[in-house]
Amino acid sequence: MARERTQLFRDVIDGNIPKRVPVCVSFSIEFAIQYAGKNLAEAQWDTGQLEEIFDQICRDFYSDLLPVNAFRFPSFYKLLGARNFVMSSNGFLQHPEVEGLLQEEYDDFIASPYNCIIEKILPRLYTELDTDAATRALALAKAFKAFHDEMGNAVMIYGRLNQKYGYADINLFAGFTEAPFDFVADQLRGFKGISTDIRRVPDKVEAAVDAATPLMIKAGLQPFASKYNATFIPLHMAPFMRTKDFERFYWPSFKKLVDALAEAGHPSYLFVEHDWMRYLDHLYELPAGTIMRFEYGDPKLVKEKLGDKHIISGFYPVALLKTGTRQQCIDKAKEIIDILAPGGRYIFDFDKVPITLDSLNVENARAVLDYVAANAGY
Amino acid sequence: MNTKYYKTWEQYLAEHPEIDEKQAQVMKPKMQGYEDMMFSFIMFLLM
Repeated sequence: MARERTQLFRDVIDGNIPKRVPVCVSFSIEFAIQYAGKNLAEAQWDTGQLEEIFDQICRDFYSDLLPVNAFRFPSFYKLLGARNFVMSSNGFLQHPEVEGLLQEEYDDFIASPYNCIIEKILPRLYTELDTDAATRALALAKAFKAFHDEMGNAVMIYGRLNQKYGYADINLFAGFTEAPFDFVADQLRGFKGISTDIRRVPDKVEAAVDAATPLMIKAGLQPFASKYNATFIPLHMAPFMRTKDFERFYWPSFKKLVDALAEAGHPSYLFVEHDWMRYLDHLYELPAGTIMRFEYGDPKLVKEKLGDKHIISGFYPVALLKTGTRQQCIDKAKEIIDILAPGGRYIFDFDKVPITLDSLNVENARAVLDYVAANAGY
Repeated sequence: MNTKYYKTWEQYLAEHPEIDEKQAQVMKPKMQGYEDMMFSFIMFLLM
């Protein structure tokens, strides 16, 4: 089964028409824990429970790729006293608005982003790194150990589940990085800060984004190049920007990043968050075969503008899985497949990762996934 | 990368002339690997 499933994705990536539309859906760790009836906080700390929890998702929801992917665990954030990822009382790891870089520190960041990260940004966002030298050295050592323990455990679980359920040997999360503008915006300046900076200190924003670009490229490189293993890049800020600002501050460095990864043999897997319909002509310019999972927008327009060059995914509205009838949900899948599947270069996926158990009706989700697996043949 | 917190193997080797060529061959992947692991971790903390 794994060989057949792998071939589906290889055909899509190689530009051939596969036997049927491959299905790639993913559920959040929170969804999986709630689905298994476990305590959210306990299971994220006691990660020995995760194999059984993830197994239930694999057992009950059809996908051709492993349908779970967790990479944020509370242990290393807590050890560092994180202010940017904090577990709430109900067990959700939340990301409050933070400002790791002050506006008056742009010049330091531009001169040496990595020095600035180590000396100023990390201590501001991680309280245990804002301590005396010995204490912060020990805090970082503990967190580094915890990070690799948690990731090592997760990778072992993924490997066993891949074997057990015969998932495709394709990894769309083999690397992880961000668009340089998003990196500067998300945790360095914050949404409010970057929006102000674009108007008040535009040259500094532009220079900071340029300075961050080599770090983002390095972060996105994988140990081994393969056209079947992608670097995941979630895209955030562009839909909230004016087009002329996007073209000046966002696009040049982002294109440079995706081009550099492609030149190194790493395709990019973009989560095109929110509505990017204004920017489809820009997206077309990215290296051929870039995988783009769309959240909102017009699938017909995307197919028409990007379908001959890139691989399209997403668009299936998770919201409908909560509010629609079983038949409405299946009909929606048919509608999206009819638009996006012709000619190949399409992977079925939801428009977003279901975060909580109550974000959808599980019976509808199962019905849709089973329908696509059984009926989306070419 | 313009920083004092990340060293390529070549930079490290230049600061440690006591390391002979034979030793350097076996040290390089391990030392560079840990340097890159720490870089990846630091960047992950901000993504």
